[in-house]
Amino acid sequence: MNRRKLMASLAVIPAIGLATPVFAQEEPLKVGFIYVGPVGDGGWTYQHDLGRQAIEEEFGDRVETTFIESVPEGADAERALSQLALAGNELIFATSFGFMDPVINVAAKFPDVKFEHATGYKRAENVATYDARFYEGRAVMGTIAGRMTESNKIGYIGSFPIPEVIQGINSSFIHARKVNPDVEMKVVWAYSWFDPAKEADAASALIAEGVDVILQHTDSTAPLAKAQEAGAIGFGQASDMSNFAPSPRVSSIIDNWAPYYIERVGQVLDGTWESKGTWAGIAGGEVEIGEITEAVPAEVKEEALALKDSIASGEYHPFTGPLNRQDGSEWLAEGQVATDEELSGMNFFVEGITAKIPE
Amino acid sequence: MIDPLSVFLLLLSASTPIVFAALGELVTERAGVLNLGVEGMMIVGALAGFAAAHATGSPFIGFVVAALAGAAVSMTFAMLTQFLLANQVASGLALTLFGLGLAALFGKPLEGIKAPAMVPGPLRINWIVWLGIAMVPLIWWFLNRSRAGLILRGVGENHDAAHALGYPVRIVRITAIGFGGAMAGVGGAFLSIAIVLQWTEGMTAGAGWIALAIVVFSNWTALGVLAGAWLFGGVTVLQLRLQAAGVAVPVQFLSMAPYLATIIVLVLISAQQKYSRRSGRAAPGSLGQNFYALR
Amino acid sequence: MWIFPAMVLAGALGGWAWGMIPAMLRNWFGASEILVSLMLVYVAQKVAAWMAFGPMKNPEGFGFPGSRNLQQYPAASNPELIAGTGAHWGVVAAALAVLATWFLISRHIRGFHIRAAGLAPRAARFAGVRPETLVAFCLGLSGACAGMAGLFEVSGPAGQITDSFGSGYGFTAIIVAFLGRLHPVGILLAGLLLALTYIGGELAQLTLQLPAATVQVFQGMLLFFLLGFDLLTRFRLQRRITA
Repeated sequence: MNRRKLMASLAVIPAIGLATPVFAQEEPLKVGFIYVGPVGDGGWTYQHDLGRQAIEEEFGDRVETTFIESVPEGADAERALSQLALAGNELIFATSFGFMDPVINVAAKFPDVKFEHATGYKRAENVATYDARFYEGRAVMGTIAGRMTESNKIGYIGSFPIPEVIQGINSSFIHARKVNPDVEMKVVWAYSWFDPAKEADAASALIAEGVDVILQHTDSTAPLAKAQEAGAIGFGQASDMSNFAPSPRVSSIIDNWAPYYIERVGQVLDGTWESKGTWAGIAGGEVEIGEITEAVPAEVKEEALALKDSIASGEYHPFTGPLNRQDGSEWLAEGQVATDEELSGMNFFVEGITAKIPE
Repeated sequence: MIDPLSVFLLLLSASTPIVFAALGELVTERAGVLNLGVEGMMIVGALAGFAAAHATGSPFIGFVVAALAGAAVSMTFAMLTQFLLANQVASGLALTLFGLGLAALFGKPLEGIKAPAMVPGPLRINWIVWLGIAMVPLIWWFLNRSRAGLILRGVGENHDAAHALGYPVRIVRITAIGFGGAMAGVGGAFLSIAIVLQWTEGMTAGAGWIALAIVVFSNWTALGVLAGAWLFGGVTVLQLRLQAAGVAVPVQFLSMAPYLATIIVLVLISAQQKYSRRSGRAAPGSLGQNFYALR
Repeated sequence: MWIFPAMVLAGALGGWAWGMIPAMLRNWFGASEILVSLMLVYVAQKVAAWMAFGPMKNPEGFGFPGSRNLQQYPAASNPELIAGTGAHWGVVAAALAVLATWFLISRHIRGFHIRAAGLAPRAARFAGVRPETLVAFCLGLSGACAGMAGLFEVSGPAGQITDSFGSGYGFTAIIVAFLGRLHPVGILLAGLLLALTYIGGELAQLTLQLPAATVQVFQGMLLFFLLGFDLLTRFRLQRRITA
């Protein structure tokens, strides 16, 4: 650590206990982050931290970023958020769903501090929310999966039965079916975002069921390692996982928070920030498709990229009718597109998936 | 339908980290020491093993280094409990905290690197899996048929008596703690080198705690550890297999079941010992108690 | 008005009942209370997870796991008593618990029995102390305390039951008890010390940009030293004179 930083850190200490930041004009904008995992998790938190680094790179001396990592959801989160606010951060990013209520509570106590909460649905005057349309990426994965499977069985390792994951399962299934009407989808729930041993077991269970393409919604590389052993293929999740390329990792779905973070910090700097809910996808650069490797035939790659482009241009929505619910009742009529409200509360599988969502 | 053999083969490899860690803890506990730091030793082993395997390109050297690292970090616990007479439960918890932090700190440069490939052994199953299974009869033999094992059990049952008979209680216990650390280290390294093929912070994700439960379930026998590891691992593997086959399963209840089974086993064995005064063993007599020679 | 006190009572009762499981298994069958309660930790976690995904799931929560947030129901919440301090009713209750435990252990005959049974079980038995009663009393009481601690968290800072509720506070409490040398006031101080390392750890991340792992290592080492040097307070070092 250099001397300037040390001085800066000493300067913070007297500021603790004051609710409002002092000298906001002269000083660089302080941006705080609270992470649910360690920055070294190679997945969710790692990607958010890349976003933080992108802010520093973009704005240089005009911003100063700090983070607190591995904060458990629940009681500890509120304390950590208060500390970030007390330390003079004017913009705070809370990057896990479980931080939702703590953010709302702390935001009420610090009306001058702006909060950004990832993946939640509660907003306030000074609390904005943001999320990424991961299902758009899943549509591309589903297309590749449907084309690549030889056993016509694809597997999905779910973390928790929440709307984001259910969207992902539906989206990948719909698009796999579109290119391969015989495809079947097997779903297992790991009940964890990160548990390598269990994820490996989940992948093995799918492989033993005859699955040869695995989509994962959990963050470790264990399913890819299992896929490699069994000669199956899979996709990187959250981060690129490119060290498993070209096979078993044939592509990946990457969370890229940098564009959003840079945009929002810029808005705070020029005074145009306001609370809103942002749900961007491939078009906004939030959801990236990692390089499709040579293990995928060229025409499949082309088809996948074409789908990606049509989603990016807004020409195509992955949830476009006709689509029925699992029980056969009609959900979307021909040409009808799912609304964001429907998607953000999604709690059913589409027709054709045989697995049940656990109650 | 679900083919039992495939479930079993899956189970063999899935339960290996826990088999190692639990066998190590078994020996430690039979010497009368309750080390709750298994999770911490496992993750240190996972990191050290991965680092060594990556640096040398040899998974085998990785496992050796993991064993050494696990044993080394367990010596802090040995120091505290055997020389400084600190409480074993608290020291073990501190060891877990320390190990998790230490591994995370030193693991930073290794993030995102892939482990070197391993040559599979018989039945396309990793050699380490077979080694874990081979350790079961070896440890059984050591505990029940060898003189050294007899002394170790004596120390664990009644350290005052063992001391009076002239056995070096402290040395026996330190050795047992070190062995437990080495085994936990290998178990952790199996996760990073053979299952995930990558180092990630916090990758043991509670495996050490399961190993502790299995030792209780095993009624402190080597064969029981294997049965316990297969039961605990089996429940997970089976519920995932059922899910994959499209059967709805009550996951929370299923994953609770092995722990309830452990309590029932513990109660049955204790009751047998209490009321019949014959056979049946429960926890080693001096488990968790510190020893100091009065003279 | 009465809802929150009733919740505290129910929390204590729940903790007491959970604590009585190892106590009774110990008394009836001689099963080790350490091991039984260790196993019960996992069972309790699964029960909480089941509740968060099942019966207690917030119907307005868009399918996310977790109960309704109690902070939005003033009658059932445990708010900050003094704004900005984070102090809630749990702080008051903890202070009272320290006093009550001190009185129990140092001034009450039952506390004397507990200490006697801890130091010399056989002697205590001869003096007419029934170990079964003590086991049930102590485990039940500590269960009730732990239950209240959980309730104050769930109704206060955490606000809701989630699948990850708990995050290791119970194990930290064991460390605190030993650091406090099993004395109520010592435990209060040890609790404050550990809390300081948590908060200080976050501050260190913020101001010095240390990774969380450094803080964890520091905590581990702090505990090692404190536990290790406890020896010097309990034993006197003596130079052995060899003739």
